[in-house]
Amino acid sequence: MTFIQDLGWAAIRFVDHLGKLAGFAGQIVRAAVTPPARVQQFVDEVFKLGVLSLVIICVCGLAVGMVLGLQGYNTLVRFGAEQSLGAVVGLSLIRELGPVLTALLTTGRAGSATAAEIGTMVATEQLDGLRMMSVNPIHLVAMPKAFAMVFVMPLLSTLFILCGLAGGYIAGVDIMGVDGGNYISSLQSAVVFSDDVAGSLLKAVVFGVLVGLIATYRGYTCAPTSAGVSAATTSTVVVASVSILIFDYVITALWGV
Amino acid sequence: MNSPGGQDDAPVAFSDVTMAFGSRVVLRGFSCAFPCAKISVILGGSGSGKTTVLRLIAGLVRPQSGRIGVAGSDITAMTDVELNGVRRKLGMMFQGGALLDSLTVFDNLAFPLHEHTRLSAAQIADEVHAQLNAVGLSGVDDLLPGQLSGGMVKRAALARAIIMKPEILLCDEPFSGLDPISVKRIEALLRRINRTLGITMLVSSHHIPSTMRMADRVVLLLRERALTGTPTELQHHSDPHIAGFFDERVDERLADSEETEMPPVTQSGWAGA
Repeated sequence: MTFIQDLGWAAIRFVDHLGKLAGFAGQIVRAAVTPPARVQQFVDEVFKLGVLSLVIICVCGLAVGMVLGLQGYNTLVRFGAEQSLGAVVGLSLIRELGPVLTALLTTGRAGSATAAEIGTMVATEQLDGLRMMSVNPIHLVAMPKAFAMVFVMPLLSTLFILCGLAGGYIAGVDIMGVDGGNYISSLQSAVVFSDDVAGSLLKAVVFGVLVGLIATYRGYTCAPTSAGVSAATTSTVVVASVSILIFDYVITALWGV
Repeated sequence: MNSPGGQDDAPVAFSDVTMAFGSRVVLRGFSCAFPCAKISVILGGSGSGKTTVLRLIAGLVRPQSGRIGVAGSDITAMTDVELNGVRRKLGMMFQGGALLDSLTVFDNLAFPLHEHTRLSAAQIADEVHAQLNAVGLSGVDDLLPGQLSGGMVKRAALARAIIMKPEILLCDEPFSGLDPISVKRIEALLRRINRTLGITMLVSSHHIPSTMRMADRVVLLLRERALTGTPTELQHHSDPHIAGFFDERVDERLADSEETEMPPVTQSGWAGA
């Protein structure tokens, strides 16, 4: 009986959180269309979330591409189809690995930092200080961070894919000896822009919305203690990562991208 | 409107306010009016609700029941947008300063001016420097709040709180964590701001010497009730517990009594810890 009660309370809490998250999203959208425009804050956040993530995205993209190149070659060579390596690496990266891994990496690096930063502002009464200056903290702090996340995610995903393709080329062509022209031509002929690339960008934007919203919401609603900030940071990474994987399946199932 | 709390001209008035956090009731049926252009000090032990009173006035928390009048408006049922209008008349000095830690001291003070005025950059710089000088801070423009001492943070927070020329200034524990010299410096600043600008000032504190020197009126929050009066009236109250609150030697007596009630710390106790 206790187990069923606990299950019921957990379900109620989940629905309650979903409702509050939706309300918070509504406040962010409303803040976005309310003057003044927070251009400077948005640009600062694009730098913090995007530019400072460039190194990790490039390194990971290159590494994943090289692994894909090696694994793809070892598999394809059994069937004498190693000339299709470019298509295998390209489609894997563009349709799945690029947007998903970029979102997971960005969650770990930038999402957690966003939640921790806002949570610390809650704990040190900085958000209350803004309220006392008649400034809406969602307008000044949460909205620019959330929109910056949506903006940088497709850009970072594209960069990840490009680095991955380069990594696949290095592993397949330079190391394993696949013909470079074949790698490029198979990639070109396999990838359909309106289907694969547009779908990849759609996924990246959806993941950007998820990470931006969850990170800002968790930070904004955290308990005003160091333990609260810690919990908000951890839950941002966990909830955002699980949400990314679930939404990846949903988008793939619904639209086949 | 008639101000809650009985005095129509009072800039801040509570009427039968009850406030609880979960099951813990902090204020029960609290009624009080704070006089205009005076320094009112809210006294009480830890957890007695001093900070809560200030946060209720600021609209940062909402009461379970009762009415709160601030600057001629009943804020109890106001939306956040409506509250912003009232908050323009308020300044608040938070206990920890609440300065934006990613901005320099100069930018922290300039921030409300950028948000709510159309002053030029030069005018804003002049105003910021005037306020910094008023609180005795100079050469700190480019420092971040984390690079300031506790007393300097309090003074910078005070400068930011008064830069928009508020009608009412709320100061949450302005003397906590400060050395005696810094306490006297902040105290003198608050008195000077009150006398020269005529700002109604509400200060939460448990610093008795400062309260005796600066308060025009004291609100003493006790567990079941709140008492108001001048510092002298409360100091000579017929109830020895209330009068004792103003006795500076009470801390020593409390320490002595706690020492006799507490079990002695033994060597094994430390070893087992």
